[in-house]
Amino acid sequence: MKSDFDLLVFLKYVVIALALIIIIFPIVSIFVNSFRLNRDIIVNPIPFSSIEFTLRNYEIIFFDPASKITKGLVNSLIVVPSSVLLVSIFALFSGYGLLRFSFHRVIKAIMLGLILLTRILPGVSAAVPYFVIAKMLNVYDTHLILILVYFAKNLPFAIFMMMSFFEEVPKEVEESASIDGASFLNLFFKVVVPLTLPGLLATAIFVYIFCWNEYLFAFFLTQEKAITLPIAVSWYIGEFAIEWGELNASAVISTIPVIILTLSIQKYLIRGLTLGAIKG
Amino acid sequence: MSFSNVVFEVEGVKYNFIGLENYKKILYDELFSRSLNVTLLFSIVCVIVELILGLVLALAVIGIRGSMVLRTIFVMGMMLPPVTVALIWRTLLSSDFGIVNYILTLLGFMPVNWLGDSIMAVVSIIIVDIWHWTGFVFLIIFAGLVSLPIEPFEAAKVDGASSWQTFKFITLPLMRSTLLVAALFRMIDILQAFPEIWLLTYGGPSFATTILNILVYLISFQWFNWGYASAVSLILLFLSIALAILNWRISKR
Repeated sequence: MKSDFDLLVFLKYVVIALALIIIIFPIVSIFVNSFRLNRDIIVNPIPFSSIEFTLRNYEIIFFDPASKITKGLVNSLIVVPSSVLLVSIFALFSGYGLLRFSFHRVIKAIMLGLILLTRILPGVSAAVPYFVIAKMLNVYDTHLILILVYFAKNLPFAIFMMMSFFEEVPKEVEESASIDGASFLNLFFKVVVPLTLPGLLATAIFVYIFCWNEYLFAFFLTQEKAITLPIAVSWYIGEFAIEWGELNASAVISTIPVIILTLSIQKYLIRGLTLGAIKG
Repeated sequence: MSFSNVVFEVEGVKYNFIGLENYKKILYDELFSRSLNVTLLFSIVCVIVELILGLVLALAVIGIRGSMVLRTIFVMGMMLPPVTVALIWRTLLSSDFGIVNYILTLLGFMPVNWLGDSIMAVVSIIIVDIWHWTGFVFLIIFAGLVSLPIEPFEAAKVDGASSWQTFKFITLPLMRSTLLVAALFRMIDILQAFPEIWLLTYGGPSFATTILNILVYLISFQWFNWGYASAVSLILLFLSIALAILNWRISKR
C-alpha cells in the first residue's frame, strides 16, 4: 500500500515537470530569440546557443520607418482600453440589474439566450455581416468599428462575470443599508460597488486580455489605418523571408502585458475562464 | 444574405434573391465536404486528447503544494495571443531549423515537413491546438475535482480501495458531466479556431487544413462569393448552437 502511494506521487511530479517544460520552454524561447541575430536563429535552433545577444531587433521594430509595430501598438492602446471601459460600465449596471430586478421569466430567458448566443457565434459568421455593415456605414478600418465590435463580443462575458460577483454580496448587507434609509442609487454606489470592486477590476482585466489578443475581427475589419498589434505582428509572418528576430521581438512586446495581467488575476482564473462551463 | 447572390458595387451592396441555390451548392461542393471532414477529425481528436491530458494534469496537480502557481502556468498557454502561439509553433516546427526536427534527427529519425505536407499539417494544427487549449480543459476539470463531495472518497479509503479503483469507480463517474461539458465547450471553441491555423498553414497545403471557419473566410474575403459564404457560415452557426444546446442540457442535470 505504502509503495503504491509513493509511486503515484513520483508519477505526479513527473507529469508536472513534463508539462512545465512543454509549456514554458516555447514561451522562454521567443524571449531569448528576440535578442538573437537572424542568422543565429536560422543556423542553430537551440535558443541559448548564441554567444552574441543584441537589442537590434527591438531597435528595428520601434524605429525603422517601415515597421508597423509602433502603429499597431498605438492603435491597440486606443482601441482596447476604450472597449474595456465601455464594457465595464455596461456590465456593472446590467449585471446588477439582471440579477436583482425581477423581470418576467420569458423576457429574462430571451435576454440571457441572446447574450449566450454571442458567446457561441463563430467569429467568421459574425465577421462577414460586420464587414458588410462597416462598409455600408463607412467605418471600415477605423477605431470605432473595432471598439464597437469588441464591446459587443465581450459584454456578455462581462455581464455574467459581474453577476457572479454581485451574487456574492450578502443580501443582509443590502437589506440593512436600505433599512437605514439609503436610496437605491446610494445603496448601489456606496455599498454594492465598493464590495465588488475587485471583481470589476478582474473582469476588466479579462476583457483587456481578450481584446488585446483578438485577431479575427481586427483581421477582417482593418486594413491599414486601424491595424492592431496582433495584426502588425502577423505581418512579419508569411512574407517571403520571415525576419525571425524582429518577429520574435514584436511577439514579446504583445505577450508581456498578457503574462503580467494573467499573473495579476491568478485568483480569478478559474471563475473567469470556466464561466458558464461549471454553472452552465 | 445566404439566399442571395451578393454583389458589392460602387453605389452599395446589391442582393439578388436566388432562393436555396447557395444551399444546393453546398451539397455538391467537394471542398465543403472535405472541409467538414477535416473539421470533424480535427475537433474530435483535439477534444479527446485534451480531455485525457487535462484530466491527467488535474489529477497530478490536485493536492500538491503550490498548486495555484502551477495552475496559472498551465493556463498561461491559453492566455497568450494566438499570433504568439502561431509564431512559437512556426519556429518549433520549421522544417529547416525547427527544434522539433532537430530533436528528431538527434534521435535518428527523418526530419518531418510539418507544415508543408498535407497529412502532417493536420497533425501540426492538432498539436498546436492541444498545446494552446489543454490548459482550459485542465482548469475546468480541476475546478470540478475540487468541488467533488469528500464522503465517497473517505468511504472508499475505509473499504481499502486502491487508487486506481477509487479513480475508476468514484472520480470518473462523478466527473462525467464535467468532462462532457468541457468537451462540448472545446468543440464550440474549436469550430471558431482561426488565427492559429490561418497563420500556421493558411488552410493549406491544398486545403488540407481548411476547417469550415477558414473556408468561410476564403469564400468571402478571397473569392468574394458573399452569399455562399453566408450559407456556409450559417451551417457553422447551427452546428455551434446544436452543441451549445446539448451542453446546456447536460450541465442542467
